[in-house]
Amino acid sequence: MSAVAVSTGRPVLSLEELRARTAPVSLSGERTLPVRSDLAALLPGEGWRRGSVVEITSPSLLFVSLADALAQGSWAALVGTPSLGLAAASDHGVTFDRLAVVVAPPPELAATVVAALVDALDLVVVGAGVISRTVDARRLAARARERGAVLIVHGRWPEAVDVRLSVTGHHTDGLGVGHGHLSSWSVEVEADGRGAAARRRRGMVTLACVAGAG
Amino acid sequence: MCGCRMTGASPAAPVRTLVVWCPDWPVVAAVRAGDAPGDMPVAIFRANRVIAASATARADGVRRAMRRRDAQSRCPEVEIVDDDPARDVRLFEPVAAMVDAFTPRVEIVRAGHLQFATRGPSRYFGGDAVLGSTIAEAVSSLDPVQPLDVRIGIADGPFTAALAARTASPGGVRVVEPGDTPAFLQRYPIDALVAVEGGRAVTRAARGGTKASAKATSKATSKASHPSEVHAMALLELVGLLHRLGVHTLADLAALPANDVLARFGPVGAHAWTIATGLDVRPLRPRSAPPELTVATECDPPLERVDTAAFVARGLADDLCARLATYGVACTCVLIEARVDDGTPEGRTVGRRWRHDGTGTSGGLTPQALGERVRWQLDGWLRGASAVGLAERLTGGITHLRLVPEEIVADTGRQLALWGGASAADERAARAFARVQALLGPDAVCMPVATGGRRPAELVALVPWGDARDIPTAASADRPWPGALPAPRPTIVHPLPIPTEVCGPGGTVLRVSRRGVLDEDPVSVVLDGRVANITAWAGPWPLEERWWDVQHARRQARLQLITETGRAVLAVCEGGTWWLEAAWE
Repeated sequence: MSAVAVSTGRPVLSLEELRARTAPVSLSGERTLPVRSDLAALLPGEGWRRGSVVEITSPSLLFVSLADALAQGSWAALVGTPSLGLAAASDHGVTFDRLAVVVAPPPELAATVVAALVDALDLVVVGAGVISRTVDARRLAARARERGAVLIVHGRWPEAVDVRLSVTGHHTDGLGVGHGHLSSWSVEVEADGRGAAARRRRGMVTLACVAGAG
Repeated sequence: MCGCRMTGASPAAPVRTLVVWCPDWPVVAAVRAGDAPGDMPVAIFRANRVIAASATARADGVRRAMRRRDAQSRCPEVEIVDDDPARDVRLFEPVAAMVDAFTPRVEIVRAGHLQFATRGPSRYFGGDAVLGSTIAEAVSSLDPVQPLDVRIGIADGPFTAALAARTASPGGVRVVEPGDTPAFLQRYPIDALVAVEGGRAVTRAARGGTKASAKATSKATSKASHPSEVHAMALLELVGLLHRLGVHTLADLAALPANDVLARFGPVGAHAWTIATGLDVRPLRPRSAPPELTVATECDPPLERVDTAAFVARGLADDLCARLATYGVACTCVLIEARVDDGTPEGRTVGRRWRHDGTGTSGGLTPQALGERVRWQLDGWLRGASAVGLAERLTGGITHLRLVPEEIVADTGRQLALWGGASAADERAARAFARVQALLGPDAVCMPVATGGRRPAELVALVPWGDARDIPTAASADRPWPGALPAPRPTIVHPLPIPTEVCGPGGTVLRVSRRGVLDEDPVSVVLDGRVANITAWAGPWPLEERWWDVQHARRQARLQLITETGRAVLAVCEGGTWWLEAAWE
């Protein structure tokens, strides 16, 4: 075939062949951090794509999204999230062995601190209001992309994010009128964003089911 | 080129070395920096242990590695000063600059201890003794009012020279003639190994070692992170073992066959044996580094503040170590060079050489150790040392910073653990946390630790990164905590409770009676300033803590509420007022 191609002066390689030859061995999008299966079903790469910026407002969803990656050896840091109930984090499977907390970085150093953490850790959670300037946000997102970290924003991010997880409904059980206590609990989650995540996906994520523990 | 690099020399031919040693340098530095009074006994402490003491304090019996309470019981008027390595280096900088004026290739081993090879300089000045006294005179004349106590030792090899300096009279020079080293060393007890080699790391090691329990020491050895610390601990352990085996002097050790020492005591033993026999302990085949290993950075705007300089230093040190690692080498001597803006277009270049102490068995400088040294050196240049006279402060900022590995050895490396232990990711994370701590202070980076408690805020304690994660057993999470909230635990715990109102059917704020009973069923709650209807609730769950202690007694009633939007919150009534303490979101 190539002899024919040369004789007619057309490109020697077909487009498919060319693409296969020039493609990197592994695409950056193929490198993902693991996440629980019911949440993974909502994400374009079946996990956290390294280098992406994710917005998660619900604390329990945040814990769920950290748990599997931490269990498999990744490190995570929480920056400026003083109101998270970390005891619940451990209930959701977050191991404290590889979790660091930077309680309240001063505003003028916050971007530097987050940048230092993004350089070294797989997951960095940034609390509401920690990064408020668009310039910093853009720079940090670029840094995360370069270093292959996942930047999770717990609150509002001044720039567009790659994936946004929002809770659209709660389903609670166990608590009656004047009796019982909250025992099982799941949320309806909606994922949207840009690029591969632009298509809206919905699903249920079970957060707690302590039928035996009550 | 003096013979300092030893390229091609065999380890059996030690380099003739001059050591400048200032005794009790941390004390001298503290006094000169104004952190301690000059006329009182002074002891420098780190982590509650003495790391240096003034002569008057020593006369009263204060010793290295002693606890604060013991030191104070021996010498009640002792002035306690915290250790500050940056201060030590800053005040040592003029001494280094003065010696540097006599000869190039001065190597700082630590603050208060520097060395150089004497072959060239002593020929120039007319002999070892003349060179030594010239330098001693120059250094002590740095401060004419209160001359520095400086001692100089010249001998074959850095260890012997350091030992000679320790035995010199104040302001004096002790020369061990070439070839006399074995005879000189014979007289000294084996503890000289630790005294000279270990430096400040020994004190840390002594925390495990003074308990005279091999188990404690080996535990401490496994915990030590810094190579020179590991080396010091291993030496300490070895010296204790040799004493127990009846080997008390360096001569005893030197008399043993080298192969047997290596077989019985491992590399540390072989290292000690080499020292005891008067041979050189420098790495077998150090070589000068190829120029592409040098790292440099332009600083724009110029570095003028110590904290920004420290940040740059860390980054540069990490960079250098990463570059060295790709070649499979480690650095044992590094030149820190800075170009300073002095008004001229090309600027002025200053440089200092740092040698890694404890080179014998522990490989090269780690990124942390290198970063520390660069930071100290920049601190010394930027903040000057007016207290020691010759206050040669830099006039402008640093515009260019360069780290040149002067001597590299093959990196024997540390084996990373297959499971558990330190992995590459763990090391990277540790470096990042150290960097954040350098920026914000040591308490800024914390690790959560599960603790026990009844209220949501008591369930997790934050422990500064690097501290032991031990919590008192009284607050242990695996004890029963009657009155604690049922699982699942709340995902939001407000650091400060938010005032709210829980209302009954009539719109009146609910009250909880002394017997813990609500006067009406809850119907609505104020969330984020808006009234939300309650669809499900439970409680009130009473909580009464420390009723025997008037100051810390707490009496609460808690309600778990779910509103029509599906939000679950914990409302707490204390003293007739309602608060939102936690939420499940």
